[in-house]
Order: sequence, then structure tokens, then C-alpha cells
Amino acid sequence: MHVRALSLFLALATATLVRALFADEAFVVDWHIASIGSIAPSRALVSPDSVTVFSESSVLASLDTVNGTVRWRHLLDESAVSQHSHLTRLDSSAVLLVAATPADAAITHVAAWFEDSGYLIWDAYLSGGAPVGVSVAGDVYILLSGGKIQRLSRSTGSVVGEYSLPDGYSPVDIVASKDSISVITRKQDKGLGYFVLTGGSGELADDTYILIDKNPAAVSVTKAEGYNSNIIAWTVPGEFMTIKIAGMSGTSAQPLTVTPKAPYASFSLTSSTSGVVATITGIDGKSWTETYIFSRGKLTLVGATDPTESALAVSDGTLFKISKTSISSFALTTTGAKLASNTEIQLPPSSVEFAKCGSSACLVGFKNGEYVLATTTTGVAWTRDESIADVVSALFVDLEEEGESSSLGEVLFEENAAPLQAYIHRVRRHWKALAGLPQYLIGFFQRFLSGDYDAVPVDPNSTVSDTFGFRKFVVLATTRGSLRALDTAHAGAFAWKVDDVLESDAIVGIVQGDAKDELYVVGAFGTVAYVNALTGKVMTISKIADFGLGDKVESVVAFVHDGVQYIAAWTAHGQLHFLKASSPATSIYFSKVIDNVVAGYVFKEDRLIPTWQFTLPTSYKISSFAARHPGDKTVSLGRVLGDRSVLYKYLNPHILAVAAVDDTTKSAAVFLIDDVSGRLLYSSFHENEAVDTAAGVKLVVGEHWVVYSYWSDLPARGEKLVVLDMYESDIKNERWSKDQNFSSFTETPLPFVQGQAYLFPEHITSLAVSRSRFGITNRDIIATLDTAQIAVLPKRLLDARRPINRDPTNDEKEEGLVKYDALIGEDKRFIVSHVYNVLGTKKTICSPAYLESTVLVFAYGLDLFFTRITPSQPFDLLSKSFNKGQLLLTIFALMVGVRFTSPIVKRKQLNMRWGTQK
Amino acid sequence: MLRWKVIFTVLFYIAHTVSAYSLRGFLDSTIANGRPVTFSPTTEVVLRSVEAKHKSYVRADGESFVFLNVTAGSYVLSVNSIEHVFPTLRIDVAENGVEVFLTHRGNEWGFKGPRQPYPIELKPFAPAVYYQYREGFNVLKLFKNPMLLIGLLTLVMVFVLPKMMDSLDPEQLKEIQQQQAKSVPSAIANPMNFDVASYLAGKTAGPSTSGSSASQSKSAGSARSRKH
Repeated sequence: MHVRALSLFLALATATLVRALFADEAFVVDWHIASIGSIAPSRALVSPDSVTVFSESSVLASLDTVNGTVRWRHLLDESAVSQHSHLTRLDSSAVLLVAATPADAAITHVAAWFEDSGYLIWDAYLSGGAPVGVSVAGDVYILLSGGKIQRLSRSTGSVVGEYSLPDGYSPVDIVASKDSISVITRKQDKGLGYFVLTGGSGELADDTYILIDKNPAAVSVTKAEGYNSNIIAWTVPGEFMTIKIAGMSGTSAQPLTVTPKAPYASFSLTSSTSGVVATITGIDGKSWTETYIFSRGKLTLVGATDPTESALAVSDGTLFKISKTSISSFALTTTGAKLASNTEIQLPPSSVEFAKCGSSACLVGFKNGEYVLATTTTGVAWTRDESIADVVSALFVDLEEEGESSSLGEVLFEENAAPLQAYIHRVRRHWKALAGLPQYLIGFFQRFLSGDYDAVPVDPNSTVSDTFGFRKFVVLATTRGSLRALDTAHAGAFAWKVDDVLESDAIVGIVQGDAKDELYVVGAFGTVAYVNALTGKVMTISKIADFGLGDKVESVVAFVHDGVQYIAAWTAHGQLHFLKASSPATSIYFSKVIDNVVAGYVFKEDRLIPTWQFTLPTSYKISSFAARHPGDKTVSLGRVLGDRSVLYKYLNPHILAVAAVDDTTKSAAVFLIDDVSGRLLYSSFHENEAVDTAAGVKLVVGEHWVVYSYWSDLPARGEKLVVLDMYESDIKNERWSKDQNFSSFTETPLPFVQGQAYLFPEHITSLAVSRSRFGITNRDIIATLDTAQIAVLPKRLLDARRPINRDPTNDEKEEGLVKYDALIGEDKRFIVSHVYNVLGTKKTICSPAYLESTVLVFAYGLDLFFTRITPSQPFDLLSKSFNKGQLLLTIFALMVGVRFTSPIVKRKQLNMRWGTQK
Repeated sequence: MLRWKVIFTVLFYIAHTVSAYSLRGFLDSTIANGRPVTFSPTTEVVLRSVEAKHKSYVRADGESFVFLNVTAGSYVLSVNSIEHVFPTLRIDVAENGVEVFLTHRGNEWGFKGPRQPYPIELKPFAPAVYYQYREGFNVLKLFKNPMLLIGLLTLVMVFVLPKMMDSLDPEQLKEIQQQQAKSVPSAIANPMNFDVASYLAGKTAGPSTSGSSASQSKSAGSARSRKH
């Protein structure tokens, strides 16, 4: 009876399943880093007010020039392939993005955006191929790969004229000026020439065709607008001392040859009132500029700078020279370069990839993914690290507990040393520790008075955890081969950074070793580095000994077997190299998803033997797969029902869930496989539902359940969220694994699987499950959404035992079940990312805090987002609203009350005994 | 050969121009709660079917949006907004025009909802609420607590009732006490002298019974008090 009352109370207490973030915890427990991705110089516009870029991650963004924050950004669908996307300035307040559409590269999307606000001004779709060249002169001229030139009104984007190149001419680029439009083409892939179109009145008309070079071998055309006429340059392959240049006039073109003073590797051309400036990078890596002027049909060299290792960039007749310690600007005149300013700066140590300059500021890109805006007046304005936008792998690193770092080794020493020596050591240690006593006392009283553990903030430079384990490092491995550690307690500030960890090998995965600070970084070509996870120091770096020639590491496998941790690299040739601990003596079973097949292997006696293969039904393709996190703990073997009977959970640690889609029939399927024996445990098919196969199926595996989601059109359009709960039997209290652990090798009964499906309002891009320290706390399902938000749903809400079409009985209520409702997650309070615009997250990882109630959640992809969630409420933590003053006041009031009433009571009792009441 | 090329080109143009439609609409920014609603430039309007996905952004006027290059079909139109919650619309694009219906999640696609005007009009339901707020200290709330009320009532009983009894006429009091003595055990009738131990032990506390010495003295006291 008592238990029943208690469980009823619990059921009632948790009946409200919508649990939102407290307003006072927003921006305190969570943080968000908005990224834009890698910047290409060709798609970056630097102006005095803003830096506008269209990044490799398809983000169109405008950055503040003062502090580098994102003024606005849009994650677009348009492809960021450099040949198919162009970002140019439309006018002083707007930018124009011309890019091929993702669905069809033959269609080009043109959009004009306000640079200040990020609002769309106009957009247009053009058919006829991907954009080859864009030029703005009065109107917008776009050359498409299909040989069509479209002229768009600058103010409305409507097509005001178009022109098609004659057959046989392939488009190269377009240069427009006020009077004429030059379309650079190649004829039959041989002759280089251009069409001059007159476009003054609107309609484009074929005027003349001018051949520049009959037989140019390679056409990597560089164009320059301005000066007296537009200029193009091209190269002759094999000759590193020749650059061909021609001015494009309306009547004829005389190709001229420029001979740089040293062999070049690359060059760029700019044009200004003073002439043509060629910025040349030599084959020795040094750069210089050469300034030419046109006079009487000839190019005359008027000035050249000395070759330098600094980065050079030319903008509007100004040459910017950026070295590690200074930024200088030079005015390019007809007599040469004249120093205009020189400012001392301190740039990051990584090597410079490019410099793109505006009127007085330069955006400098570094190899490690950092970007710096340096101005000639104030020096470095800001630094942005965009390497964290392209993450290969991420993990949480636990920090040391307070005092642990200093004393653990010393205590061990004292335990093993001779008594006298140990005693002296201890006294000395305590004497040293005494120095920290005042600080400790101050902190103690601060905490005591405020009742808040955060009253004494953790030193951001330390590697010590806070009281509740909310402070951890998140280590990110980036596509640029670098590692970044973020401090979760300090809004994601960098704890340490290491560039090029694997010495120009690309990182495939990072795995944590036995110790907290052990981090293994594995590269594609078999480079393995062992890094201290707390400091970022690279301890050792080595190559896998017997790594096959031309082989490539595909993934890193980590598992614990008989208390020993093994880390192994799986290669494309099907090899398994053990990186930590020698290869295990016992047989180890595991499975791999290779292309479209799930294959099982056994590693036995230093040999890898294939055991089974799971082939999908024909025309199905694997969309995703998932297994239970090895650190996920199970507290209870069964699920207690309202009538005190038990349904035993099917707890098989070897479940591999594989989701597949069929493009032709628009169906999806999910298979649950035992990855030791390859036995199919359960499968579910979603046919005739018109599944969005491109979006695929998202999966997550918990202790005895699988949750997956997919978008489909039938019968009701929306994102379907499906839960499959696995039990040993559908009969209560029945359990066949009663006496011993069951083995994958024996023919055990198949799990009893119960399923339910729900409709979720938004598109889900990935799923994850929370993991608490001891597994007692309920689980939450964490979903990243394509609305740039992150939702958290209680697993209790996704329960296949929810009664359908009837109210739950008393027993079911006790179990915590609520009536089935197909619609789930309608309430915005499920969104934990609240007002953050968390763009492009693809994966979520979780880690438990020291407190059982709290789980740390980190999502990455493009943006980074961190928060703490408490799936069963913060039951082991006093809430922020807990009023310490009120409690003390109540105690005080009670004391006063007792003080006053006790004489009264005493007198009364005495009177009573004497029989003289009153 | 040339003829084929021409035909293909024509087909290409048909595919890309004839079947492409554009849709216009706006987000209704009329005044709600006395304040005009504003839509941030990050507000996305998404038009989606299994075959295609189109994304549009709010224009410079802060409310209108346009979808270009839309092929015929049946779409769901939703708005990705951090600040507001919007209804979901069903948009049927066909050769003979655009039809807009109000739809909701879980609606079977065969059932069309109420017809909506075209150009598309989207009025936000409500501002998005992501937070819950802590309840601060509230005196009124305190007095709604039944436990507190019971406690207060007990206090009243303890302090006020004896005073009331005293103010009564001695004759009347005697009458009441006699009545009580008949109906209820004396221990309960006189709560101040209630002996819990003996009550729980199953003994009726009274002047005739004698348990411990304490209960004896108490009952003696009560017996004497009755003589007043």
C-alpha cells in the first residue's frame, strides 16, 4: 500500500512531461558559437563597414569589421563550389550572390542581399547552366555555362536582355563596362577571343568577334576591370616566364607578353588608374608586384617591388604587404610603389594562405583555419577561428578533480616510502598546501554566504573541474588536421589549440585512452599521435608499423575487453592495426558497415576472419547505423508495471541498428542485427509511405530500445518518430535469461518488440540519447532540427506502452504512462537551444556530470552548441530559486517563537501540576 | 543531328520555363498586443515536398516572400522563425493556378483544410515561448497551502478556544462539559490534558484509571479543574 502510494505520487509528480528551460538559466548553462566556415578569397568582399563572404559551407554572412561578430548569416542551399558560385558587389549597400542551385546545376540562382541587414532584395532563377562569369556595370551581366548571357536589372532582378553565343564558342568569362560588354570565349577549345556586345539600349547585340590568340594552350583567364580598357591575361603552359596580356577594346586586340623577372607559380592581375598591376608569386614562394602602363600599344614596366615572403594584395591602386609582424600599404604610382603606412601587428603563427584587401583593411586567411582582419591604422581588429566549423570528430574530456593533480602522485609516494621519509614528505606537503588556505577560506565563506557554488569561479587557465563536474573540455578534431579544446564552463573559450597534429596527415578519429588525459589521434595514412588532453601537448607521434602501401585508415575502433582497453585502426584494405595494448589473446567479434553491406568479423590469433554478411534487400541502400554507447549503464533489468509485475528488458549489448532506404519505391527499413552472430533480431519496413530518401533515416539505440525518424508524405505528411522497445518476453514476469547471461551464439528466443510512431513538427537531422553517470536518471532523446534548433524529448514520452484510444488505467498511470497522442513536440518548450540560431549541427555527443541528474550535451557540425540537461529534474541540486535567506529567517522566527512560548508553557504546566490553572 | 539538338534545346526550355511557377506571399505584421510584429532577416519560409525543397527569405520590406522556379505539385509551407509560431499551409501548384489551404500536422493528405487566399498570407499565432519561470515567494500562494491552513486552524483551536470557554457563563460551561462527558471520552473532551500514551495503550484516561504517576497527576488535575 505504501509503495503504491509512493509510486502514485511519483507518477503524478512527473505527469507533466513538458519541461522547459528556466529563464534564469538561459545563457548561463548554455553557450553557442556561430561559425561561417572556411573562406575563399574569391568569395570575400572587404569593405570599411563589413566583410561579406560566401563560405565553403554555403554560408552567406556579413561580419562586423570592428569585432568580427556575425552581423547576419544565411545557410543557403546553393553549392559553394568555387567554379559555380560568385559573390560580387552590386552597389555600395548590396551584394550579389550568383550560384548554381543544389537540385539542378543547370539552373543558376541570382540573389541580391542588403549588406547591412541581410534582407533579400530580389532573386531570380536562370536556366542555361551554371554561372561562369558575373560582371556588374549599370546592370548585372551573367555568363552561363550553356553559352547564354543574361542581363538583369540591377534594381529588380528582372531579365532585360539575353544573348546566346554562336555554336562552337565555349564561355570563359565576362567583363562589362559602361559602354560595352566583352564575352571572353574559346572557339572549338582553341582560339581565345571575345565578343563585343553593345548593351546600351537593353537588348544585347552581337557586334564583333575579336580573336586574341589563335592557339593559347591553357586558358586560366584573369580579368581586370577599370583602367582605360578591360584587360585579360592568360598563360602559356610550360613557360613560366611568360604571361600574355591583352587589353580588350572594341576594334582589335594586340596580345602583349609580360616577362616577369623570375619564374612564376601563380599570378593575379589588377587594374587601376596608374596601370596594370601583376601580383606574382614565384616558384620559390616569394611574391612581388610589377606595375605596367599601356603606352602606344606597348606595356612598359614602371615599377616592381622586391620579392618578399610576406603576403601581397592589391586593391584600388594600393599594395598591401602583410608579414607576421607588420602590415604596410604602398601607393602604386606610375613611378613605382611608395610607402603610405606601416603598422606593427602580431599574427597567428600558422602560415598565410591568402590576403584579401579592401580600402584600408585586409582579411588574412591562415592554413589552420584562422582569419584575421588587419587594418593599416589599428592593426589586428579581430581573429576568428573557423576550423571549428569543419569537425571530424569530437569528444568530452574529464578534468582533474580539485587537488587530484597535485596530491595523487605524492600520496602514492608516501604510501610506498619509508616511514620517516614519508612523514617528512607529508609535513612538507601540508606546509605547502597551507599557502592556499586563505584563498580556500575566502572561497568557503563566499560560497557559504551566497549559497552558490559558482560564487568562486574556476580559473579558466586551470585544468581542474568544478564542484559538480559541469566543467569539461570538448576536444574537436578538424578537417584541417588541428585539435581544439573548448572549455564548457567558460562559454567555449579555447583551452588549448594544436595545429597540424599529425604532420600533414588528415585526422580520421580521436579516442580517449584509459587515463583522463590520454588522447589518441589517428591519421588517414597511419600516423598516430598521443596527445595530453588537458594541455594539448603532443607526447609522441609515430607511424603504424606494418601499414600497407596505399592503404588508408577508415575508422578508429575502441573497445574494452576483460578490463583492458583496446584501440585499433580499421583500414580500407580490411586490416586491423592495434594502437593501444597488443592484440587481444581472446577472440573479439565486431562488425563493420562497408558500402552497402554489414559484415561481421572475428579477430582471433592475430588474424581477422570474416564471419557473416548481412545483405540488404535489393535496391536498398544503407542510410545510417547506430549501436548503444558502451558507457551507457543499465540500472534495472526489468520494467516494473503498475501491478508489481515485471517486463524484462532485452539487454543485448551487441545490437546494431541499420537503417536503409530505397530510392525507387521511396521506402525505408530498419534492421536490428546481433553484430556477433549476424542474426537478424527484428526488421521493420515503411513501404508505400513516400519516404524522403534523400533526408534518410536518423537512428539512436538506447538500453533496450531504438528510436528512429524519417520524413514521409503518406499517409500524413511529416517527420515520423518511431520507437521500438525490446523485451525478453511479452508475458509478465517471464524471463528466459534467468539463470545465466545469454550468449549470441546460442539460439535464444527473439526479442518481443513493441513499437509506436509519432509525428514530429520539424525535420530532424540527427538523433542522440542522454547518458547520465549511473544510468538512474531517465533518458532524453536529443534531436537536431533543420530549423537551426535543438529539441530534447523525454524517452518516457516515446514509450510503446502508451495506451491508444483510451485513458490509462490506474496501473498504467502508476507506470507513468499517458494516453497516446500521435502529435509530439508541438510545444516550443522542448527546444533547449531557445533563441540561438544553431545552424548546421550534424551530431550530438553527451557526457555525464558528477551529479547523477545532469547530462552535458554538445552539438557540432557548423555551429557549436553546449547545454546541460536534467532529464529527471535536478533532484540532487538545490534550485536557483531556493531561498536561503527565507530558510534562515524561518529558523530564526521559530527560535524566537520557542524562546517566547517556552516560559508560557512552563508556567502553564507548573500551574497544572499545582492545580492552580489560570 | 542539328534537328535533334534543336528539339532537345526546345524540350530543355519547356522543362525549365513552362512548368516553373512563382508564388508570392507575405507574413502578416499587423499589430499584435499593441505592437507591430517584426520578422528578422533570418526568417525562412520553406516550401517542401518529397521531390523538392525551396527556401525563401524575407524581403527588404520585412514581410513579403517570393518563391520562384516552383514546379507543379503539392507542397507544405512552413516558416522557420526563432521568434514566432506560424501556421502550416498546404500549397497546391497546378497549371490552372495556385490553391492554398490551412492544414495541420497529422492531417491525412487527402483531406484539404479550409481554403486560404492567394497571395499566401501567414499570420503568426503567437510569439514562441521557450522558457518557464520560477515561482517567487508569494504570500497569497502561501495561504492557499492546505497544510498551512490546517496549522493555522490548530493554532486557533489551541489559543482561542480556551479563552472562549472561559468567557462562557459557569453554569453554561458546566452544562456543556456534562454533555461532552456523556458523549465523548473525557480525554478527548479536554485536549490540553490528553494523555497520548495511555490513549494509544488502549486505556481510557479518566480519574478512575491510574497508569503512570504522570497520568495520575494529570487526571487528578483535570478532575479538580472540573470542580470550578
